Amino acid sequence: MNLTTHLSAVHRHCDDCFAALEQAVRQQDWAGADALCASFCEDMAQHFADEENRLFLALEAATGMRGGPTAVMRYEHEQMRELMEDLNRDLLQRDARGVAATCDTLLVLMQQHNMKEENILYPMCDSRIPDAAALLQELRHVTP
Amino acid sequence: MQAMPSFDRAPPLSLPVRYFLAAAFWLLPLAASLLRTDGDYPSLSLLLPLHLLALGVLGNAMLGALLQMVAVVSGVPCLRPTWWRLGVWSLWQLATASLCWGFYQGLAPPWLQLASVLFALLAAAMAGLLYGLWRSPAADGSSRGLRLALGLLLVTLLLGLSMLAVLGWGRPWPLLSLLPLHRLAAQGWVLLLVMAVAQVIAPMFLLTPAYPAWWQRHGATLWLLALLAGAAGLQWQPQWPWWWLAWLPLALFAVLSLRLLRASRRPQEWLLPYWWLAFALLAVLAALLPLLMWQGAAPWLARALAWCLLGGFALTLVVGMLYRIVPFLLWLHLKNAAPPRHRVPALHAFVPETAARHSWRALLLLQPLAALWVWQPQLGWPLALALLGLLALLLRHFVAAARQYHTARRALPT
Repeated sequence: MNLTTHLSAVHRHCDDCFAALEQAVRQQDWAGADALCASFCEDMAQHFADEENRLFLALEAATGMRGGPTAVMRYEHEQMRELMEDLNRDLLQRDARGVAATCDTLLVLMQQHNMKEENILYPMCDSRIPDAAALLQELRHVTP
Repeated sequence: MQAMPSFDRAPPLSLPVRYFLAAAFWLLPLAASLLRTDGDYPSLSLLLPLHLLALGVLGNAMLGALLQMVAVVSGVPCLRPTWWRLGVWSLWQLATASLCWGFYQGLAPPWLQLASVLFALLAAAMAGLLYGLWRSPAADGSSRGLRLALGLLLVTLLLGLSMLAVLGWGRPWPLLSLLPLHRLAAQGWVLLLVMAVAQVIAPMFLLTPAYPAWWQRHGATLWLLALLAGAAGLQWQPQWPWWWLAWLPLALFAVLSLRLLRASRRPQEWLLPYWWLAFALLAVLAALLPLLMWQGAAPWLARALAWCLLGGFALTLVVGMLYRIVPFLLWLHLKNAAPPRHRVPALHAFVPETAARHSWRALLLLQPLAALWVWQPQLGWPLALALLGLLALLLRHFVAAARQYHTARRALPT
């Protein structure tokens, strides 16, 4: 297991929560959707925090770069946080069409973001961060 | 040395959109050409619609998507957006128009000569893009597939250029040996690109399981080897239909993909029927291939295979991709222009789900009309009308999306 496989598995775990949430909304299971949305948003927030506070800092320290890819990733995290707020708002109003529209937008943003991380950024972290194994142990507290 | 990824230098909105718009407008001459074709194979009247579809419609759409994808999937920066937006785009349209007009004029040398010069410039541009992709730090199966696909596009262009050198400039090269190789390389480029894209799109956007690891690792190489084996067989014993070897991995790809689609966890996703239709047509293509052993190069079979691959499989995926990618690009650019925490309209506001489903129905209607054309090529007009209908739908939906974008953009707080 390396950073790429672990963090990609976290993505898949969040995808699973996302799919279950969409399914619950489609079935008008609002109580289930509330619980799934809370769990999805919590996992996403934890994952973003892990990346921003540990992974990206370690990569920036290893490569000396401050802007560029990690800055773009932070910016996209911010966009996803806003969409998750919208999602919670739509869910609170029991607006099934609003939830579906926000989910659709969030999915595309989330997956193009994951593509960049899984294909390039994570492998780069594995190869450039000097003590990637220790960092991996720190990050494994979120079990996919 | 590997390059650093540059996610902050993704192509501007107008770059892919320009290629997508051009792709839609090439449906117009394609429909017109279907009214004139006698459907014989090989004949100029069949090569004309084939190239209008492959270069005009699919070429533009695939190139626009490729330029966007290499930035996202492989982190290759778009260093000269103006060159790609204006230079390469114009070259592509002019080269396609020159070639097709040359075909229409019965292989008129001046048009073929012009096309050869323009395609040579395009080949140089593609070589530059391939170099950038080769230096990308991405080592995943999808990026490997993109490299191979782009390499095959380059080979296709070079083989096409060799044929133009014979037809336009009178070079004494073996045209009949070059033609099947050109066809093989073109098929390889289309299918390798789809394979590379499918590995990413299916699990991420349709929430299917991933393609098997062995396929992700070796699928593209297997296909390339099969293509090379087919090409070598053609040189060794041209009378025998060796090129069917190149299609062996195709059936496997169709079966694997259909199985994955069945396991999608987004059954409500409108893109899913597009993929079902596309891969069902790929399965039909795989089922028709053994007929080559008995029917040889029968014109009806040539029409059926060409339609299944280009008009069925590739066009369906391309139209589905347009409905997914265009609203997202509009949303993203609007979001980037908006102040933080400002809520911009969701993707559905740009192109509603019902619009995508209407176009899927139009694509579904195309298939029996295409079968009619395969059976009776003089009955190309219903297919031509249906293609014009598809163009009308695309324009209506994407003009509405552009209007929505401009309205929302004007409404942004300053």
